[in-house]
Amino acid sequence: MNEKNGEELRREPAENGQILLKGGVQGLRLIIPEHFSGEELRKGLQEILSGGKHILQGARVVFDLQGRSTDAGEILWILEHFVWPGNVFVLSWVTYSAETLDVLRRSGFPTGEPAPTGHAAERARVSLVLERSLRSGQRVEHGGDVVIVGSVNDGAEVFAGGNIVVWGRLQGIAHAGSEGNADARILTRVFEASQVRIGRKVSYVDKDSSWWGKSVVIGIEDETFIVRPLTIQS
Amino acid sequence: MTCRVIVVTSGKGGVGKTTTTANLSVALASRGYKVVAMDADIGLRNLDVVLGLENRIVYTLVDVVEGNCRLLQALVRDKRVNNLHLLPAAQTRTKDAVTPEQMRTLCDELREHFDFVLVDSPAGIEGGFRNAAVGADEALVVTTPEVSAVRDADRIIGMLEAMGKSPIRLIINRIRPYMVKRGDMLDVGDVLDILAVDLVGVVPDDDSVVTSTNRGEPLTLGGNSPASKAFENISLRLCGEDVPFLNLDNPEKEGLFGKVKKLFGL
Repeated sequence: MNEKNGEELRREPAENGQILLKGGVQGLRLIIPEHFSGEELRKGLQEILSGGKHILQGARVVFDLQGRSTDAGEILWILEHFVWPGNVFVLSWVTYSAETLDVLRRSGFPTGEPAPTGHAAERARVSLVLERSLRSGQRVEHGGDVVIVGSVNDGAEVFAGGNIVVWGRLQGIAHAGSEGNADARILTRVFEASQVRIGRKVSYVDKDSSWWGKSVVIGIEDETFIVRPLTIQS
Repeated sequence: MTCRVIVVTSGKGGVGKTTTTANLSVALASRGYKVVAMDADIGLRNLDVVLGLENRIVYTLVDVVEGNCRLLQALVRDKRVNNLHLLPAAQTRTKDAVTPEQMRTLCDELREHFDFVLVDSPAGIEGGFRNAAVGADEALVVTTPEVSAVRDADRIIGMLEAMGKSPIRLIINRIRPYMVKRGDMLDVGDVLDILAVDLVGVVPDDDSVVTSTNRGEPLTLGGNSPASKAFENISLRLCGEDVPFLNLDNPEKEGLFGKVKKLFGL
Protein backbone atom coordinates (compact mmCIF):
# COMPACT_ATOMS: atom_id res chain seq x y z
CA MET A 1 0.00 0.00 0.00
CA ASN A 2 2.90 2.34 0.56
CA GLU A 3 4.71 1.88 -2.72
CA LYS A 4 4.92 4.89 -4.90
CA ASN A 5 5.40 4.13 -8.53
CA GLY A 6 7.03 7.05 -10.23
CA GLU A 7 4.27 9.38 -11.12
CA GLU A 8 1.47 7.55 -9.33
CA LEU A 9 -0.18 9.03 -6.31
CA ARG A 10 -1.80 6.54 -4.00
CA ARG A 11 -4.60 7.67 -1.77
CA GLU A 12 -5.47 5.89 1.42
CA PRO A 13 -8.20 6.91 3.80
CA ALA A 14 -6.71 8.76 6.76
CA GLU A 15 -6.59 6.70 9.91
CA ASN A 16 -9.35 7.24 12.39
CA GLY A 17 -8.64 9.98 14.84
CA GLN A 18 -5.44 11.30 13.33
CA ILE A 19 -4.55 13.88 10.78
CA LEU A 20 -2.15 12.07 8.47
CA LEU A 21 0.99 13.67 7.19
CA LYS A 22 2.40 11.84 4.19
CA GLY A 23 5.37 12.38 1.95
CA GLY A 24 4.84 11.92 -1.73
CA VAL A 25 5.95 12.82 -5.20
CA GLN A 26 4.40 16.25 -4.87
CA GLY A 27 5.81 16.95 -1.43
CA LEU A 28 3.92 16.76 1.82
CA ARG A 29 0.27 15.88 2.02
CA LEU A 30 -1.95 16.70 4.99
CA ILE A 31 -4.92 14.30 5.06
CA ILE A 32 -7.91 15.14 7.24
CA PRO A 33 -10.10 12.18 8.39
CA GLU A 34 -13.47 12.51 6.72
CA HIS A 35 -15.49 12.23 9.86
CA PHE A 36 -13.59 14.89 11.82
CA SER A 37 -15.85 17.39 13.53
CA GLY A 38 -14.97 21.10 13.43
CA GLU A 39 -13.51 20.82 16.90
CA GLU A 40 -11.38 17.80 16.07
CA LEU A 41 -10.09 19.55 12.97
CA ARG A 42 -9.06 22.65 14.88
CA LYS A 43 -7.53 20.66 17.69
CA GLY A 44 -5.64 18.42 15.27
CA LEU A 45 -4.18 21.35 13.35
CA GLN A 46 -3.29 23.21 16.51
CA GLU A 47 -1.42 20.16 17.76
CA ILE A 48 0.72 20.16 14.63
CA LEU A 49 1.71 23.75 15.22
CA SER A 50 2.30 23.46 18.94
CA GLY A 51 5.78 23.44 20.30
CA GLY A 52 7.44 26.22 18.39
CA LYS A 53 9.33 24.91 15.37
CA HIS A 54 7.18 22.34 13.59
CA ILE A 55 7.58 20.01 10.70
CA LEU A 56 5.50 22.04 8.27
CA GLN A 57 7.40 25.27 8.69
CA GLY A 58 7.92 26.64 5.20
CA ALA A 59 6.85 23.31 3.66
CA ARG A 60 4.76 23.00 0.53
CA VAL A 61 1.67 21.01 1.42
CA VAL A 62 -1.35 19.54 -0.33
CA PHE A 63 -4.32 20.00 2.00
CA ASP A 64 -6.51 16.91 1.50
CA LEU A 65 -10.00 17.12 2.96
CA GLN A 66 -11.16 13.94 1.16
CA GLY A 67 -14.97 13.73 1.28
CA ARG A 68 -15.38 15.98 4.30
CA SER A 69 -17.82 18.81 3.83
CA THR A 70 -15.91 21.91 4.95
CA ASP A 71 -17.60 25.27 4.94
CA ALA A 72 -16.23 28.74 4.28
CA GLY A 73 -15.98 29.52 7.99
CA GLU A 74 -13.77 26.51 8.60
CA ILE A 75 -11.57 27.32 5.61
CA LEU A 76 -11.12 30.80 6.99
CA TRP A 77 -10.19 29.36 10.38
CA ILE A 78 -7.62 27.08 8.74
CA LEU A 79 -6.04 30.08 7.04
CA GLU A 80 -6.09 32.32 10.09
CA HIS A 81 -4.96 29.80 12.68
CA PHE A 82 -2.90 27.29 10.75
CA VAL A 83 -1.68 28.31 7.32
CA TRP A 84 -0.65 31.90 8.03
CA PRO A 85 0.73 31.69 11.56
CA GLY A 86 2.35 28.34 10.76
CA ASN A 87 4.03 29.70 7.68
CA VAL A 88 2.63 26.77 5.71
CA PHE A 89 2.55 26.94 1.93
CA VAL A 90 -0.60 25.27 0.63
CA LEU A 91 0.09 24.05 -2.90
CA SER A 92 -3.46 22.97 -3.46
CA TRP A 93 -6.70 21.94 -1.77
CA VAL A 94 -8.21 18.53 -2.48
CA THR A 95 -11.87 17.72 -1.82
CA TYR A 96 -14.59 15.39 -3.16
CA SER A 97 -17.38 17.49 -1.71
CA ALA A 98 -18.96 19.57 -4.45
CA GLU A 99 -19.98 22.31 -2.03
CA THR A 100 -16.49 22.64 -0.61
CA LEU A 101 -15.01 22.61 -4.09
CA ASP A 102 -17.33 25.43 -5.03
CA VAL A 103 -16.31 27.58 -2.06
CA LEU A 104 -12.61 27.07 -2.78
CA ARG A 105 -12.91 27.72 -6.49
CA ARG A 106 -14.96 30.87 -6.14
CA SER A 107 -12.42 32.19 -3.67
CA GLY A 108 -9.58 31.65 -6.13
CA PHE A 109 -7.88 28.73 -4.40
CA PRO A 110 -6.03 26.10 -6.44
CA THR A 111 -7.92 22.80 -6.23
CA GLY A 112 -7.22 19.22 -7.18
CA GLU A 113 -3.85 17.57 -7.44
CA PRO A 114 -1.19 20.22 -7.89
CA ALA A 115 0.27 20.64 -11.33
CA PRO A 116 3.84 19.50 -11.47
CA THR A 117 6.25 22.39 -11.84
CA GLY A 118 9.44 22.77 -13.81
CA HIS A 119 10.55 19.83 -15.90
CA ALA A 120 7.70 17.72 -14.55
CA ALA A 121 5.19 20.01 -16.21
CA GLU A 122 6.36 18.82 -19.58
CA ARG A 123 5.88 15.20 -18.72
CA ALA A 124 2.53 13.46 -18.57
CA ARG A 125 0.59 14.65 -15.58
CA VAL A 126 0.42 12.58 -12.44
CA SER A 127 -2.19 9.81 -12.34
CA LEU A 128 -4.64 9.84 -9.51
CA VAL A 129 -5.37 6.44 -7.99
CA LEU A 130 -8.30 6.32 -5.58
CA GLU A 131 -8.80 3.16 -3.55
CA ARG A 132 -12.40 3.80 -2.64
CA SER A 133 -15.81 4.06 -4.22
CA LEU A 134 -17.51 7.36 -4.88
CA ARG A 135 -20.98 7.80 -3.44
CA SER A 136 -23.75 9.80 -5.04
CA GLY A 137 -22.94 13.49 -4.74
CA GLN A 138 -19.16 13.07 -4.55
CA ARG A 139 -17.05 14.55 -7.29
CA VAL A 140 -13.42 14.11 -8.33
CA GLU A 141 -11.60 16.44 -10.69
CA HIS A 142 -8.08 15.83 -11.86
CA GLY A 143 -5.88 16.99 -14.69
CA GLY A 144 -4.36 13.60 -15.51
CA ASP A 145 -5.60 10.02 -15.56
CA VAL A 146 -7.91 8.80 -12.81
CA VAL A 147 -8.04 5.21 -11.64
CA ILE A 148 -10.83 4.28 -9.27
CA VAL A 149 -10.27 0.99 -7.47
CA GLY A 150 -13.93 0.87 -6.53
CA SER A 151 -17.21 1.94 -8.03
CA VAL A 152 -18.57 5.26 -9.22
CA ASN A 153 -22.15 5.22 -7.98
CA ASP A 154 -25.09 6.83 -9.72
CA GLY A 155 -24.93 10.52 -8.86
CA ALA A 156 -21.14 10.61 -8.46
CA GLU A 157 -18.91 12.37 -10.97
CA VAL A 158 -15.36 11.92 -12.25
CA PHE A 159 -13.74 14.56 -14.44
CA ALA A 160 -10.29 13.68 -15.75
CA GLY A 161 -8.06 15.53 -18.16
CA GLY A 162 -6.77 12.10 -19.14
CA ASN A 163 -8.23 8.60 -19.11
CA ILE A 164 -10.62 7.12 -16.59
CA VAL A 165 -10.42 3.55 -15.35
CA VAL A 166 -13.10 2.23 -13.01
CA TRP A 167 -12.39 -1.18 -11.52
CA GLY A 168 -15.87 -1.55 -10.07
CA ARG A 169 -19.17 -0.37 -11.46
CA LEU A 170 -19.40 2.83 -13.47
CA GLN A 171 -22.87 4.24 -12.95
CA GLY A 172 -22.24 7.94 -12.53
CA ILE A 173 -20.83 10.58 -14.86
CA ALA A 174 -17.34 9.95 -16.24
CA HIS A 175 -15.83 12.69 -18.35
CA ALA A 176 -12.46 11.73 -19.79
CA GLY A 177 -10.35 14.25 -21.66
CA SER A 178 -12.33 16.90 -19.84
CA GLU A 179 -9.97 19.61 -20.99
CA GLY A 180 -10.65 18.88 -24.63
CA ASN A 181 -8.62 15.73 -25.33
CA ALA A 182 -10.75 13.59 -27.63
CA ASP A 183 -8.20 10.75 -27.53
CA ALA A 184 -8.92 9.97 -23.89
CA ARG A 185 -10.65 6.72 -23.05
CA ILE A 186 -12.93 5.29 -20.40
CA LEU A 187 -12.42 1.75 -19.19
CA THR A 188 -14.62 -0.04 -16.73
CA ARG A 189 -15.29 -3.54 -15.48
CA VAL A 190 -19.04 -3.07 -15.22
CA PHE A 191 -20.56 -0.45 -17.49
CA GLU A 192 -23.90 0.86 -16.21
CA ALA A 193 -23.68 4.58 -16.93
CA SER A 194 -26.50 6.24 -18.80
CA GLN A 195 -24.17 8.86 -20.20
CA VAL A 196 -20.48 9.13 -21.06
CA ARG A 197 -18.40 12.13 -21.99
CA ILE A 198 -15.06 12.32 -23.80
CA GLY A 199 -13.41 15.51 -24.88
CA ARG A 200 -16.23 17.82 -25.86
CA LYS A 201 -18.72 15.11 -26.74
CA VAL A 202 -21.54 13.46 -24.84
CA SER A 203 -23.17 10.14 -25.62
CA TYR A 204 -26.36 8.74 -24.18
CA VAL A 205 -26.50 5.06 -23.48
CA ASP A 206 -29.45 2.72 -23.66
CA LYS A 207 -29.89 0.18 -20.89
CA ASP A 208 -30.88 -2.32 -23.58
CA SER A 209 -27.56 -2.05 -25.37
CA SER A 210 -25.55 -5.23 -25.57
CA TRP A 211 -22.66 -3.89 -23.52
CA TRP A 212 -24.72 -2.81 -20.51
CA GLY A 213 -23.23 -4.45 -17.47
CA LYS A 214 -20.13 -5.61 -19.34
CA SER A 215 -16.45 -4.72 -19.24
CA VAL A 216 -15.77 -2.11 -21.89
CA VAL A 217 -13.34 0.42 -23.33
CA ILE A 218 -14.97 3.54 -24.69
CA GLY A 219 -13.26 5.97 -26.99
CA ILE A 220 -13.93 8.32 -29.86
CA GLU A 221 -13.01 7.30 -33.40
CA ASP A 222 -13.89 9.44 -36.40
CA GLU A 223 -15.92 11.71 -34.18
CA THR A 224 -18.12 8.84 -33.00
CA PHE A 225 -18.27 7.06 -29.66
CA ILE A 226 -17.02 3.50 -30.04
CA VAL A 227 -17.52 0.86 -27.38
CA ARG A 228 -15.36 -2.24 -27.39
CA PRO A 229 -15.34 -5.20 -25.06
CA LEU A 230 -12.54 -4.96 -22.54
CA THR A 231 -10.48 -8.09 -22.99
CA ILE A 232 -6.99 -8.80 -21.79
CA GLN A 233 -4.67 -9.97 -24.56
CA SER A 234 -2.28 -12.60 -23.40
CA MET B 1 -27.24 1.37 29.58
CA THR B 2 -25.82 4.42 27.84
CA CYS B 3 -28.40 6.14 25.72
CA ARG B 4 -28.34 5.46 22.00
CA VAL B 5 -29.40 8.35 19.79
CA ILE B 6 -30.37 7.09 16.35
CA VAL B 7 -31.41 9.27 13.41
CA VAL B 8 -33.84 7.67 10.96
CA THR B 9 -33.28 9.23 7.57
CA SER B 10 -33.39 8.50 3.86
CA GLY B 11 -32.80 11.42 1.55
CA LYS B 12 -35.84 10.53 -0.49
CA GLY B 13 -39.26 11.44 0.84
CA GLY B 14 -42.06 8.99 1.38
CA VAL B 15 -39.99 5.82 1.79
CA GLY B 16 -41.08 5.10 5.34
CA LYS B 17 -38.92 7.03 7.82
CA THR B 18 -41.83 8.08 10.01
CA THR B 19 -43.48 4.66 9.85
CA THR B 20 -40.16 3.09 10.78
CA THR B 21 -39.53 5.53 13.63
CA ALA B 22 -43.02 4.97 15.05
CA ASN B 23 -42.96 1.18 14.80
CA LEU B 24 -39.43 0.80 16.14
CA SER B 25 -40.17 3.16 19.04
CA VAL B 26 -43.18 1.11 20.03
CA ALA B 27 -41.33 -2.18 19.61
CA LEU B 28 -38.38 -1.06 21.74
CA ALA B 29 -40.56 0.50 24.44
CA SER B 30 -42.70 -2.63 24.59
CA ARG B 31 -39.54 -4.54 25.51
CA GLY B 32 -38.96 -2.32 28.48
CA TYR B 33 -36.59 0.32 27.15
CA LYS B 34 -37.25 3.99 27.88
CA VAL B 35 -37.76 5.47 24.43
CA VAL B 36 -38.38 8.95 23.10
CA ALA B 37 -39.42 9.40 19.50
CA MET B 38 -38.41 12.87 18.34
CA ASP B 39 -40.03 14.45 15.32
CA ALA B 40 -37.38 16.62 13.68
CA ASP B 41 -39.53 17.40 10.63
CA ILE B 42 -40.43 20.93 11.67
CA GLY B 43 -43.22 22.37 9.59
CA LEU B 44 -44.32 19.07 8.11
CA ARG B 45 -44.72 16.94 11.17
CA ASN B 46 -46.15 13.45 10.82
CA LEU B 47 -44.81 11.36 13.66
CA ASP B 48 -47.57 12.56 15.97
CA VAL B 49 -50.29 11.39 13.56
CA VAL B 50 -48.66 8.04 12.89
CA LEU B 51 -48.36 7.43 16.64
CA GLY B 52 -51.91 8.62 17.22
CA LEU B 53 -50.85 11.24 19.73
CA GLU B 54 -51.63 14.47 17.85
CA ASN B 55 -54.50 15.54 20.08
CA ARG B 56 -52.30 15.61 23.17
CA ILE B 57 -49.63 17.99 21.91
CA VAL B 58 -49.32 21.13 23.98
CA TYR B 59 -45.66 22.09 23.59
CA THR B 60 -43.21 21.21 20.85
CA LEU B 61 -39.47 20.81 20.31
CA VAL B 62 -39.31 24.45 19.19
CA ASP B 63 -40.92 25.58 22.46
CA VAL B 64 -38.25 23.71 24.39
CA VAL B 65 -35.45 25.24 22.35
CA GLU B 66 -36.90 28.73 22.72
CA GLY B 67 -37.32 28.31 26.45
CA ASN B 68 -41.11 28.54 26.48
CA CYS B 69 -41.33 25.32 28.46
CA ARG B 70 -39.21 22.66 30.09
CA LEU B 71 -38.26 19.56 28.12
CA LEU B 72 -40.35 17.23 30.24
CA GLN B 73 -43.41 19.41 29.71
CA ALA B 74 -43.19 18.96 25.95
CA LEU B 75 -42.92 15.17 26.05
CA VAL B 76 -46.18 13.37 25.29
CA ARG B 77 -46.45 10.09 27.15
CA ASP B 78 -48.04 7.24 25.19
CA LYS B 79 -50.80 5.74 27.31
CA ARG B 80 -50.78 2.49 25.41
CA VAL B 81 -47.10 1.74 25.82
CA ASN B 82 -45.25 2.35 29.05
CA ASN B 83 -41.85 3.99 28.57
CA LEU B 84 -42.70 5.58 25.23
CA HIS B 85 -42.71 9.34 24.80
CA LEU B 86 -43.07 11.63 21.81
CA LEU B 87 -41.25 14.95 21.42
CA PRO B 88 -43.34 16.60 18.72
CA ALA B 89 -42.24 19.07 16.08
CA ALA B 90 -43.96 22.39 15.49
CA GLN B 91 -46.26 22.50 12.52
CA THR B 92 -46.44 26.28 12.25
CA ARG B 93 -42.71 26.93 12.07
CA THR B 94 -40.04 25.98 9.53
CA LYS B 95 -36.73 24.15 9.58
CA ASP B 96 -34.71 27.25 10.44
CA ALA B 97 -36.47 27.62 13.77
CA VAL B 98 -33.66 25.63 15.39
CA THR B 99 -29.89 25.50 14.97
CA PRO B 100 -27.68 22.41 14.93
CA GLU B 101 -26.22 23.48 18.27
CA GLN B 102 -29.64 23.64 19.85
CA MET B 103 -30.51 20.20 18.48
CA ARG B 104 -27.32 18.74 19.87
CA THR B 105 -28.00 20.21 23.30
CA LEU B 106 -31.55 18.87 23.18
CA CYS B 107 -30.36 15.35 22.32
CA ASP B 108 -27.79 15.52 25.11
CA GLU B 109 -30.49 16.47 27.59
CA LEU B 110 -32.68 13.60 26.42
CA ARG B 111 -29.79 11.17 26.90
CA GLU B 112 -30.07 11.65 30.63
CA HIS B 113 -33.62 10.33 30.75
CA PHE B 114 -33.87 7.65 28.08
CA ASP B 115 -32.31 4.46 26.72
CA PHE B 116 -33.16 5.22 23.09
CA VAL B 117 -33.77 8.48 21.25
CA LEU B 118 -35.13 7.87 17.75
CA VAL B 119 -35.00 11.01 15.64
CA ASP B 120 -37.38 11.14 12.68
CA SER B 121 -35.53 13.15 10.05
CA PRO B 122 -37.18 15.16 7.29
CA ALA B 123 -36.46 14.29 3.67
CA GLY B 124 -33.66 16.13 1.91
CA ILE B 125 -30.01 16.82 2.52
CA GLU B 126 -30.11 20.39 3.78
CA GLY B 127 -30.57 22.04 7.15
CA GLY B 128 -33.53 19.93 8.24
CA PHE B 129 -31.59 16.70 7.79
CA ARG B 130 -28.46 18.19 9.35
CA ASN B 131 -30.40 19.35 12.39
CA ALA B 132 -31.91 15.89 12.79
CA ALA B 133 -28.57 14.10 12.45
CA VAL B 134 -26.27 16.37 14.42
CA GLY B 135 -27.19 15.03 17.87
CA ALA B 136 -27.21 11.37 16.85
CA ASP B 137 -24.52 8.71 17.20
CA GLU B 138 -25.98 6.11 14.87
CA ALA B 139 -28.09 6.19 11.75
CA LEU B 140 -30.79 4.06 10.21
CA VAL B 141 -31.15 4.73 6.50
CA VAL B 142 -34.49 3.75 5.00
CA THR B 143 -34.83 3.08 1.31
CA THR B 144 -37.23 1.40 -1.04
CA PRO B 145 -35.88 -0.94 -3.72
CA GLU B 146 -36.19 1.71 -6.42
CA VAL B 147 -33.41 3.29 -8.42
CA SER B 148 -34.21 6.86 -7.39
CA ALA B 149 -34.58 6.02 -3.70
CA VAL B 150 -31.31 4.07 -3.70
CA ARG B 151 -29.44 6.94 -5.31
CA ASP B 152 -30.76 9.35 -2.71
CA ALA B 153 -29.88 6.86 0.03
CA ASP B 154 -26.34 6.67 -1.34
CA ARG B 155 -26.07 10.44 -1.14
CA ILE B 156 -27.32 10.54 2.41
CA ILE B 157 -25.00 7.71 3.47
CA GLY B 158 -22.06 9.65 2.06
CA MET B 159 -23.12 12.64 4.14
CA LEU B 160 -23.66 10.57 7.28
CA GLU B 161 -20.21 9.01 6.86
CA ALA B 162 -18.70 12.46 6.50
CA MET B 163 -20.49 13.49 9.70
CA GLY B 164 -18.94 10.55 11.53
CA LYS B 165 -22.18 8.72 12.28
CA SER B 166 -21.56 5.09 13.12
CA PRO B 167 -22.88 2.52 12.68
CA ILE B 168 -24.95 3.33 9.63
CA ARG B 169 -27.48 0.57 9.00
CA LEU B 170 -29.93 0.02 6.19
CA ILE B 171 -33.62 -0.83 6.12
CA ILE B 172 -35.09 -1.82 2.77
CA ASN B 173 -38.77 -0.98 2.93
CA ARG B 174 -41.80 -1.89 0.81
CA ILE B 175 -40.23 -4.76 -1.03
CA ARG B 176 -42.56 -6.82 -3.23
CA PRO B 177 -41.18 -10.31 -3.67
CA TYR B 178 -43.35 -11.09 -6.69
CA MET B 179 -41.98 -8.05 -8.52
CA VAL B 180 -38.42 -8.93 -7.55
CA LYS B 181 -38.95 -12.41 -8.98
CA ARG B 182 -40.23 -10.91 -12.23
CA GLY B 183 -37.16 -8.73 -12.43
CA ASP B 184 -39.27 -5.58 -12.15
CA MET B 185 -37.87 -4.54 -8.82
CA LEU B 186 -34.35 -4.38 -7.40
CA ASP B 187 -33.58 -7.18 -5.01
CA VAL B 188 -31.81 -6.93 -1.68
CA GLY B 189 -28.48 -7.90 -3.22
CA ASP B 190 -28.70 -5.18 -5.86
CA VAL B 191 -29.36 -2.53 -3.24
CA LEU B 192 -26.59 -3.72 -0.91
CA ASP B 193 -24.16 -3.85 -3.84
CA ILE B 194 -24.55 -0.14 -4.31
CA LEU B 195 -25.02 1.10 -0.78
CA ALA B 196 -22.43 -1.17 0.89
CA VAL B 197 -23.68 -0.76 4.47
CA ASP B 198 -24.97 -3.31 6.96
CA LEU B 199 -28.53 -4.45 6.42
CA VAL B 200 -30.64 -4.42 9.58
CA GLY B 201 -34.03 -5.19 8.08
CA VAL B 202 -36.22 -5.85 5.06
CA VAL B 203 -39.86 -4.82 5.35
CA PRO B 204 -42.38 -6.15 2.86
CA ASP B 205 -44.95 -3.93 1.22
CA ASP B 206 -48.00 -4.33 3.37
CA ASP B 207 -51.45 -2.74 3.10
CA SER B 208 -51.85 -2.85 6.84
CA VAL B 209 -49.28 -0.04 7.08
CA VAL B 210 -51.69 2.37 5.40
CA THR B 211 -54.49 1.51 7.79
CA SER B 212 -52.25 1.69 10.80
CA THR B 213 -50.80 5.10 9.94
CA ASN B 214 -54.23 6.53 9.22
CA ARG B 215 -55.55 5.23 12.51
CA GLY B 216 -52.50 6.21 14.51
CA GLU B 217 -52.00 2.64 15.67
CA PRO B 218 -48.47 1.46 14.91
CA LEU B 219 -48.37 -2.14 13.73
CA THR B 220 -45.98 -3.19 16.45
CA LEU B 221 -48.60 -2.38 19.08
CA GLY B 222 -49.85 -5.87 18.62
CA GLY B 223 -50.19 -6.75 14.99
CA ASN B 224 -49.33 -9.92 13.20
CA SER B 225 -48.81 -8.64 9.69
CA PRO B 226 -45.57 -9.30 7.79
CA ALA B 227 -44.50 -5.67 8.15
CA SER B 228 -45.15 -5.78 11.86
CA LYS B 229 -42.96 -8.87 12.26
CA ALA B 230 -40.24 -7.24 10.18
CA PHE B 231 -40.20 -4.15 12.42
CA GLU B 232 -40.14 -6.37 15.51
CA ASN B 233 -37.14 -8.18 14.10
CA ILE B 234 -35.36 -4.91 13.39
CA SER B 235 -35.86 -3.83 16.99
CA LEU B 236 -34.37 -7.13 18.14
CA ARG B 237 -31.37 -6.79 15.83
CA LEU B 238 -30.80 -3.24 17.04
CA CYS B 239 -30.42 -4.72 20.50
CA GLY B 240 -27.79 -7.11 19.28
CA GLU B 241 -29.89 -10.21 18.72
CA ASP B 242 -29.21 -12.39 15.71
CA VAL B 243 -32.59 -12.83 14.02
CA PRO B 244 -32.91 -14.58 10.67
CA PHE B 245 -34.52 -12.54 7.93
CA LEU B 246 -38.14 -13.37 7.15
CA ASN B 247 -38.76 -15.69 4.27
CA LEU B 248 -41.07 -13.50 2.22
CA ASP B 249 -41.34 -15.91 -0.67
CA ASN B 250 -42.80 -19.35 -0.98
CA PRO B 251 -41.24 -21.62 1.59
CA GLU B 252 -40.39 -24.07 -1.20
CA LYS B 253 -38.49 -21.49 -3.21
CA GLU B 254 -35.19 -19.90 -2.29
CA GLY B 255 -36.64 -16.93 -0.53
CA LEU B 256 -35.14 -13.77 0.82
CA PHE B 257 -33.20 -15.53 3.53
CA GLY B 258 -31.54 -17.70 0.93
CA LYS B 259 -30.55 -14.67 -1.08
CA VAL B 260 -29.18 -12.89 1.97
CA LYS B 261 -27.26 -16.00 2.94
CA LYS B 262 -25.76 -16.13 -0.53
CA LEU B 263 -24.80 -12.49 -0.31
CA PHE B 264 -22.80 -13.08 2.82
CA GLY B 265 -21.23 -16.21 1.37
CA LEU B 266 -22.95 -18.50 3.82
